[in-house]
Amino acid sequence: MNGTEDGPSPAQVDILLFRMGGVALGAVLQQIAYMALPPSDQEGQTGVVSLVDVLDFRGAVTSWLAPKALYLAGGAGQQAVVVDNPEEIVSIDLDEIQSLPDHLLTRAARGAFLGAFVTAAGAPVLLLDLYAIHGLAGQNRHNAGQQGKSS
Amino acid sequence: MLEETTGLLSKTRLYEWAKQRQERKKTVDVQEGKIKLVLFSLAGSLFAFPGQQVREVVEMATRSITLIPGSPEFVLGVINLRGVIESIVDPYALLGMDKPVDTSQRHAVMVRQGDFCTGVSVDAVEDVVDIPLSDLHTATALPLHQTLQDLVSASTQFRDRPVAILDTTQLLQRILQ
Repeated sequence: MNGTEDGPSPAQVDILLFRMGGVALGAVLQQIAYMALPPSDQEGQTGVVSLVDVLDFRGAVTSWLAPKALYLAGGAGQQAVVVDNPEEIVSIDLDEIQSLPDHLLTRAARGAFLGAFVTAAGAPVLLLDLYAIHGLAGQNRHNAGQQGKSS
Repeated sequence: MLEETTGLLSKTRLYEWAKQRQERKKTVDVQEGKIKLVLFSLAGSLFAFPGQQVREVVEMATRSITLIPGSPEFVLGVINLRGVIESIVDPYALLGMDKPVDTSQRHAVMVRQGDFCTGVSVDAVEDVVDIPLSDLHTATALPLHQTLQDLVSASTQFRDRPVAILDTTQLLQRILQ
């Protein structure tokens, strides 16, 4: 499970690992164009969403160590998801990725994960779908706007 | 002659009679159907899953649960079980039960229905027993609130304590809703 500079073999995928609120998370490198510091005026930039605004961590994320914006590959404009403290890149076999059943997620978070895999140390890592996360943020904003109008 | 008229049995006949009674009882025991139950405790009350729907019991004391961000309140998270990622649900949250402050959940009962399998975190698995079908009763006698009553298929007794037998199909449907 070591990352390579030449990229993964066809049967493998490179994963950027990070940890938030004690949860081991991963993002597929193919979905990332580049990583940068989050813009200072993130609030005003609808293309930049924070992971904690999309997924409910049940209060487990209390502070940020080193926030980074993961800009989406192939995304129109500046679309990014802000995560905390990326640590390393690992290569895993595609067949190591296990699906997560739908019942594990609320409707507002459905589709947020590509699946999960188990590290050599035996810890589960949840694999985010950054495109879906970004889409869910837009959907949630839209729903909140609709609710605001109706109330 | 004496036996026929008075109903008295000689000592020899008495042994034969007792032996016959014993044989008859054995025959009844063999013929009577039984159900295997996995008994577990939640907040001091006894519950059970039918053994057929239980894949295994997992020791949780040394195992860590990974929270899934964005999951419903009743989902505790996932565990790595021999390389397979399995979900663990909290029956207190799922069944609308008050969770005692000092409770710790030592086991997870892995229940299955078709292809679907999930772990139900329980305070402790108490026993695995075979209960004669004749010892099963309706659940209406148990003092349960309505949410829980809907998920209980039958009741029985274990060491003079009432046991609520959960309907696995209903429970899993509630999880999947």
